Amino acid sequence: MRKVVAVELVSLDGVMGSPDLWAFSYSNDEMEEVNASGMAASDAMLLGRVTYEEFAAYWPRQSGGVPMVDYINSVPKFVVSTTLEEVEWNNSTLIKGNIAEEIADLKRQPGKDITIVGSGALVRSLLRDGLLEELRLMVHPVILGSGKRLFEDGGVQRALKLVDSKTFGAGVLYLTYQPTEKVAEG
Amino acid sequence: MGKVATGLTMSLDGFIAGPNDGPENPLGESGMRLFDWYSSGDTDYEMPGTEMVFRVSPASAELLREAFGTMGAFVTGRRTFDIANGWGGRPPLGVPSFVVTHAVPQEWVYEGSPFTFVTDGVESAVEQARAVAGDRDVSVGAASIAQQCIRAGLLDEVHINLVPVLLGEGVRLFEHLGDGQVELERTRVIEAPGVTHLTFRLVKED
Repeated sequence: MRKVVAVELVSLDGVMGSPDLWAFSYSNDEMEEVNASGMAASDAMLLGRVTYEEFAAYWPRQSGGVPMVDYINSVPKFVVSTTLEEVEWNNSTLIKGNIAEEIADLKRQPGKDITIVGSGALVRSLLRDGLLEELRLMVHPVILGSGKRLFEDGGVQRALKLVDSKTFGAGVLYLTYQPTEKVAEG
Repeated sequence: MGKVATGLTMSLDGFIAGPNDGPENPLGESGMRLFDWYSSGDTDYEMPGTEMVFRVSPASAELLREAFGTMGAFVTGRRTFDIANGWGGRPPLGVPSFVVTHAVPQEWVYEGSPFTFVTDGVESAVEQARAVAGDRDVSVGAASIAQQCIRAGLLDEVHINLVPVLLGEGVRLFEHLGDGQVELERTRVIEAPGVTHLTFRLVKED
């Protein structure tokens, strides 16, 4: 079965919001390689509404011939939203019915990994419903102090397993986790 | 002069204790889960100044020996002091300990008390601790004191024992820090069973 894999840029204090303002200066060849192999292993994206709207306003205007631009503009994109009426970006499909069921259906279809980037609310809800197979965090060496967090207060309790850990030269940690069982209460 | 450092065990979602922590339940609800790595290994580590013996992995034991072995003084806040009930008069690491408080708890003031109560703020407490520690390091914690030290530019190093669990809620390590961005230098990563030990140096602007 296909895996749903979330790839997130976060600061040490867990902030994921506005990575364009703080994350890009840490980008290097090692991260580019990881991104390239992530794209090669994935043939679909799953996005929440907020991230979809940001991406749909940005990526279609970028010139092609760059792997990331070509990938993101052409790959099938599934957009989870209860409020959007339609999605116009190339190869996008709206998921607005029974979200858990539709994602489970998507996973049963043949194919490669389904990648999530950004989309914090979606990641939290998939973790809660046990629909996320892998969480890959690129932890940046900075404390931001404010901004939208990946894990908000009042979130899900869940045990995870660290399955891979890498360090990049510019100080970023690349941690890959897989959810395991729920945490017992108490 | 030694360093000023904080060392705390944190969940992947950023909490160092579960919700509703207090003297009856020092780590809060589900907070014990953070410390599974203290008892899931095969190597004894005896916490200095206490009778506590942890059973950790060899990698974690080496890290604890190094981190705790260099500590010369400890600075904590009144809330942590109360939750720990003054560690029964034997503060962690068995080193001189400074408690930042508004009101001095007189029952803890006696000849030979390991605690010095500091009523004029965290800067003063860290300064007094540094004077006592000399070349050794000053350990500060828990969350609130660490935050105050970060805000005041007093902290040199952060050690995080990152545990692969989401607690959902509880006591957050990194909050109340204002909007200023703090640059870090990742100086060490040790992957041990059940915990990833991270060390960062705080980059100070001169």
